[in-house]
Amino acid sequence: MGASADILAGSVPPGAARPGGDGRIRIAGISQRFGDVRAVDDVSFDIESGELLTLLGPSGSGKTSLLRMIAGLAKPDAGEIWVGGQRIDQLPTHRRNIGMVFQSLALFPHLSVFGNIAFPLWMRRCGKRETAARVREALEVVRLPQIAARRVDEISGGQRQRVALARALVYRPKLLLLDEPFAALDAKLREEMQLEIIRLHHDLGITIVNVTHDQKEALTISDRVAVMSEGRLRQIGTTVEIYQRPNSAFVAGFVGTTNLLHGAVAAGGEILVLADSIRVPLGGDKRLAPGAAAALVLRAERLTLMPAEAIIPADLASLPGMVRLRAFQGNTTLFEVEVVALGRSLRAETTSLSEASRFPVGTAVSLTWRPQDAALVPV
Amino acid sequence: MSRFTALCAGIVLIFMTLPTILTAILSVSGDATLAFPPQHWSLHPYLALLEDGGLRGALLRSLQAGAESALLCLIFGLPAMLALQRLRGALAAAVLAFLTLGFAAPLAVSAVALLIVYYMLGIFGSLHALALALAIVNLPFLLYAVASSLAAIDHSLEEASLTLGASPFLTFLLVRLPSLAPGMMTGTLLIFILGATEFMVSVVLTNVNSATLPVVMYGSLRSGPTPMLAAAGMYYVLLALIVVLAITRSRALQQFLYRRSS
Amino acid sequence: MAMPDSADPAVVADPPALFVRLLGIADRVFGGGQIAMPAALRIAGGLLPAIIMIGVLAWGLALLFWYSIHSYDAFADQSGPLSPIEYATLLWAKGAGFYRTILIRTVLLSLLTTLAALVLAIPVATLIIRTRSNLLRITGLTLCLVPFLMGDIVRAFGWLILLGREGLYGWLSQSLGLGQRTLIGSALGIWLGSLQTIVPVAALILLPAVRRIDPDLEQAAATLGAARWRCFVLVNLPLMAPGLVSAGIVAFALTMTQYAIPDILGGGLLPFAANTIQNVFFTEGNIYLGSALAVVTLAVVLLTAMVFALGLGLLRRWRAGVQRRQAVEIAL
Repeated sequence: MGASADILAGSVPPGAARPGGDGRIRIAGISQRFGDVRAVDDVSFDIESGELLTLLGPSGSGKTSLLRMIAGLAKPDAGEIWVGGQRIDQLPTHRRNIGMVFQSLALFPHLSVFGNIAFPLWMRRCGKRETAARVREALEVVRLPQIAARRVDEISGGQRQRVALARALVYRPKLLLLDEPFAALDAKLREEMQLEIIRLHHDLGITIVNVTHDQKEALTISDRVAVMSEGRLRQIGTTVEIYQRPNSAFVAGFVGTTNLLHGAVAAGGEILVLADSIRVPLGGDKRLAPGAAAALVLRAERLTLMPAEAIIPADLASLPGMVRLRAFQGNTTLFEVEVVALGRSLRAETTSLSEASRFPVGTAVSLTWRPQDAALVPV
Repeated sequence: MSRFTALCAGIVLIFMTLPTILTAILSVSGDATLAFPPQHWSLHPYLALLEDGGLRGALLRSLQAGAESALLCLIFGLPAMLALQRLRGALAAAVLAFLTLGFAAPLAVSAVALLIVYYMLGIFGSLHALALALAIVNLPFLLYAVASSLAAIDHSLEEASLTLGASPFLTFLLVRLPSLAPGMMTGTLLIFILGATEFMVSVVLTNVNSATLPVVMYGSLRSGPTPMLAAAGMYYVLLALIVVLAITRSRALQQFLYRRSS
Repeated sequence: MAMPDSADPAVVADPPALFVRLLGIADRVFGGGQIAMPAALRIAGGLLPAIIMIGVLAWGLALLFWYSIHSYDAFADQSGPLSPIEYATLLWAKGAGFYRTILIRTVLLSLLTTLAALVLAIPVATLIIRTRSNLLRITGLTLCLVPFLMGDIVRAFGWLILLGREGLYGWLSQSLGLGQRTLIGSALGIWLGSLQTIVPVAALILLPAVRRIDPDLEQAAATLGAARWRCFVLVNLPLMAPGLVSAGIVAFALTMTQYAIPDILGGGLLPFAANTIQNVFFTEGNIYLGSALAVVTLAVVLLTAMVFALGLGLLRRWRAGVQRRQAVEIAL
């Protein structure tokens, strides 16, 4: 591994190689136990060079533990981690040459913005002039050229985020790890930083592994998403795959506003029989054999409300119900529709204002959807 | 924290505990004079100490001086800290600096300074006067302990109490005082034990009739250490251990030890 | 008032009616705490008793200073005229070498003790703050607090039987065939004994400083390429600096004015300033010279504290300056 050794020695001249070069990652059979608890349980997957992968899961799902093992801040009990063709799980953290942005940002309070960004270059014994040049370049990359002399407690929250990013990028690591750095930001700033990550990822071509429990963020910024729960990898795939073809009720429930209808597959996989023998058509996904217990994933935004008296087109599935709650949310309006036959309420979302205004609380409606928009998952 | 740090800390802690362990070993020596290793084992030193009128009296005087000094600190220090809290800026800083004079001046200097005053007032040699001196030099402990409790007070609790119909008096009595209690407790216990084991001020300000245990021990040490003195030391070690275990359980100690200002 | 379900643990018994009545009476007596008294008067009332109490010490210190600037008329055993003669006797007059030696010994041994105590206190404070085991934390705190609270004499006694001829050291050297040795009466003995007094204090003062260091910073430094020792020098040490300075000031002041340890472990051969103050006061009966020595001791302590604090300030200013210059360079 000549290239990475050069970077470790700090002898790579500025602009010589694309920092994202050969950032392939292989996670092979990684496990970590605390006593009887399996924090991470036999997780394996590959990440392509230049890809942005998000580890998504609720707290305690093992996503942060996995990230910390990649960074070398925790030790796996079993398994291997490879970056760019080099096995790194035995290396101490400071020799892994990985960039990481911490949830707390972990900016050094005794150093200025300049000192913080220059710190990794000091570690690599860069010359004075090169250090200055690289720090300036990094500050330009995060679009903060004017604040090098400031103390880190004098700058705003958004600026701190960018400084932390610049510090993790200035030595051109092959891999950037993001440990929920945006979790504590207010909604507006968080959105802005997510876009910043997309832009940086595009401009630098660096491999990024992001950790979050925010499914919206995962869908917004990632190429691929790995959903984890209870230490296990539940599904890995592109954002579209995760969203449209979840492989389990857990993944379906975790991503998006989702209604799950439990039932049994019947009629050669064409029909799902719900409670009280209510039958809904399926979209042709024949993965599950007739008789199998299954759940239909109905995304709130794929449900359309129609007046109860309207004639429903033949290619739509439908359930009768009554509007119980209507909440205007700005770009969308959320409905809660009680389906008496199922003894429960379903959630529907529409972006159309006129549609929203037609169905006040108490209106009898039909909930309709296209069968091919609803995924079927085993339970 | 690395293993290296833990190892270093362990060695340092053992080094600091070694003399105490040795004292404990020699306190159950059955020999007439103190020597390591003991030839015989016996609990006699502990009992002999309590039968020896001189040492027992000295131990009781120590405990009395410590308790009196703690009480004095509480009575004088608590109102002062509550009042000080309502002052701001340079005045508050100046008053606090004055009240913590006992920390700023070294004990050896404070001792002789108080000696001069006590001679003028004619109270030299009194045990109560010693307690006053101990209170003066240890008052900062109470002030800091109460201050850290004050800093941790949630003022919305008092506001809630007022909106719920309690008068300011009742709010003080039922809300503020209970939240200060741990700080008062920690400070008072610290001052008690520091007073009971204090040597520097005590040796200057006591005479034969009011000598406390450390002073008497110091006198006996010059004629050679005995197992009985080791036992006397162990009484203090146990006393300190009890106090420490009592206060390490309280949140006030945490606030005091990890306080923000340094 | 009957509670519907007394098995509910959240249902707490009402306070006794008598207690409530007494509270009500007390409340009325105190007018609900809204006595018409100016705030200034109330504050003064709270502060005055404590100020008078500390005033006794302030008065004594003032008297010390007053005596120290007068000469002593030994014949009449009374105060002579205003004069710097006591200071001259201690510091610059012919024959002041005796006192100068004592002062220099005190300062040098105190500096050595302070330095070592700071180094040793860092791992202890780190252990107490960072350990995940509650038992280890309580043990560490206890082992720091007990020696701090058990008093000079008990500490000195412990070292006497550790380092003495009849103690562990003497026994060990005897067993090894080196003859019955002792460290009592040596500077090393005083140094060791002082360390046990000072290390716990330094560790306790360092606790807040160590606690303020976010463990994430060390992990960040590691991901940025810093080996552990570099991280310690470049991150932990600067962040601990204010705590180290406070601990250093207190450690120096305490060592500088020790009495029992130098007296007992020094075997009376290596007196410190405090021992000499006692000696001049009680054996020579010269409160004028003794006062001057006390004032000199106090001055050395205060001066050192100022030098420490100033040093920290200068260091910080220098570092900030370097960083600003670098930052300005890249802006050009």
